Amino acid sequence: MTTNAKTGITVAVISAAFSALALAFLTDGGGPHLTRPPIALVDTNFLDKATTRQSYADLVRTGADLSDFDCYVCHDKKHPPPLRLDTNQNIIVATEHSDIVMGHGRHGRNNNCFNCHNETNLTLLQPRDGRELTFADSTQLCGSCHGPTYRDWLAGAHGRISGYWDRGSSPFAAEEIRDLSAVVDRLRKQSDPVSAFVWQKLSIPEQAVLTNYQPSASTTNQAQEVVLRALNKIIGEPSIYEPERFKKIPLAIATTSLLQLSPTGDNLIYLNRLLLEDAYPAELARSTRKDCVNCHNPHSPPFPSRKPAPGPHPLREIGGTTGPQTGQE
Amino acid sequence: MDKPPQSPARPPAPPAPVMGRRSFLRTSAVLTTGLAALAASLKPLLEMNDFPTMQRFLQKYYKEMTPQDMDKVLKRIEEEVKQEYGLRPHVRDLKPMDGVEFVYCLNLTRCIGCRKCVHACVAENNQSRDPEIQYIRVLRLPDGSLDIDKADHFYAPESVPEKGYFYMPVQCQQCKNPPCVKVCPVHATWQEADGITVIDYDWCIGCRYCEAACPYWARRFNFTKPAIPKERLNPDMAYLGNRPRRQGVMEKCHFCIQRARAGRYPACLEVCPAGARKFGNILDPNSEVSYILRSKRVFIQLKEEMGTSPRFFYYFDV
Repeated sequence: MTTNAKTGITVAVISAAFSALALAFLTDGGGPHLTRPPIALVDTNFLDKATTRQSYADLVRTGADLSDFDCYVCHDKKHPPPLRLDTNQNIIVATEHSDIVMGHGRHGRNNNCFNCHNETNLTLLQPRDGRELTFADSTQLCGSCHGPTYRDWLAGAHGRISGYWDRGSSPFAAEEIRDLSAVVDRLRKQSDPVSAFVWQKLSIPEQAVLTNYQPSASTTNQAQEVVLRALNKIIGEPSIYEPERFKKIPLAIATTSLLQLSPTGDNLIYLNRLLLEDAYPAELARSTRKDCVNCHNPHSPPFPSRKPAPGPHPLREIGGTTGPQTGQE
Repeated sequence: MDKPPQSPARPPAPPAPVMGRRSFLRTSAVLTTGLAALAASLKPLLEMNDFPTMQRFLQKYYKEMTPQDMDKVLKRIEEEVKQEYGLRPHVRDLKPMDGVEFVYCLNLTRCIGCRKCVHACVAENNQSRDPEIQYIRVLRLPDGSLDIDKADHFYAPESVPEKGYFYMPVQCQQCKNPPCVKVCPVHATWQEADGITVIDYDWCIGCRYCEAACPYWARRFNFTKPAIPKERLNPDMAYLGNRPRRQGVMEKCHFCIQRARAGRYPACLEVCPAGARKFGNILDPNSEVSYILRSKRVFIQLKEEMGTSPRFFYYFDV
């Protein structure tokens, strides 16, 4: 066989092989493709920004039922509850308080109820310095022992926080009005001094928009714009705090501590925003740091463990954890 | 000297045919093979349905766009998103603020490894859900070591935190000296004045050099068209941030630019149940991050020896 003939055959074979491959590619030969199981969407529990617990201050702000905190429904006001001790001098927890785990702190020495609670008035808390604090001010009680942590918390370096890193640009956004119809209702009726104050800041056409506002009607967008404009105008003005105006409104600790500093500039804008948030606790989203008890349970010290959210992609394919997972919040 | 006898003259060869039978067959075979291979290699084009519109094709480079050009581009993006997802988004092009440099601090003592930050990030930034693209990887490391070789990011216990381990979330470190920016052949990624390294998804050619250059594996590539369920689309978008990406472009963490430049905290920070994440302006002495860098004891810049100088600080606490 001559060289030319050999070359010819080789070229023909290669051509045929390539053509066959090309044909196979084009017609999707070689059987069905391997299919990857679909990745389930992550459980929305893992996206929840709510804190693990609700503080007493949160309950007050949202007007929740506070009857659980009225100690004198069961206890007698005239007689402090007696402490019963076991042979090791540890307090025996009454069955009515079975949710309480004695053991605040790792050393186990802070095991007396009245280290924190006021013996003569159970609705109050008492730090070591003799102050009397309500349940809403529990963070200051925690701070009286956990000084360095409290200092970090005041600086914003400890604990959860949400909202704005830039206090100067903390206007309300549309999604931060949680309940527009409630805000409009309170403004229309001028049901409290703050609402009356905000109402007076509105122009007559703006007042008309709110007066004619009907939930789930086409006026919603207009009303939302009016409310946003009014709130954002107010936070840019001098301090809106007047003792008479905020007399009946429970202020958050972040608000009172900022108020004491008589802030100016960006911090003043932030203060006005916090005051409005305190005045409309259920209607506006909060943008402040959380209290100690939003995460920690003083009666059950260990920080709660939880189920982790699904990991990176290969695990969710191979590890057999493709099904929806339930969050534990 | 006698001359060697000259060979008799050869008869002239007959004129060669233009193409012989054999060479015709050979050439045709080669041509057929070539054409078939070309057709096969172009097959993916049959599946392509994301042809760029003329407006997108002729779009200018981000830094050369006038505000009017940008308005047109934002309108086009809004229109495209509305067409695809059925809701009109709010797309903005937020510029860096004066006197602001973003820094992130992460408290390794507090992190419990729950991965909520990972999924809050996916939800906020409109990442693909299938295949799932995650910007944050949470590494599980044995106590007493910072050896990344011992890290595991596939851990799946019943509950976290686990005894004997600590957790280290890793995402884009927003380096001061970013290797990813240096290698981009088309300048589709750059560092902004507030320290955020951004990507123009319309300018990226998908060469993945930046992915190779990044020592933190912070960049992700869209191998397929991103799949985002309509009901989970975040309509608050930024041009350099979380607008939906196309197949074949890079993406990465941008400190939630659509939130950070509007004064808000990133999504991963707000969702963290342990308060381990802190974010703010390092140029403001009253910010949380300034306080942390000033008063906390130990800081780790991950892979410090690479000389990237990250703006992401890890610290321990008591």
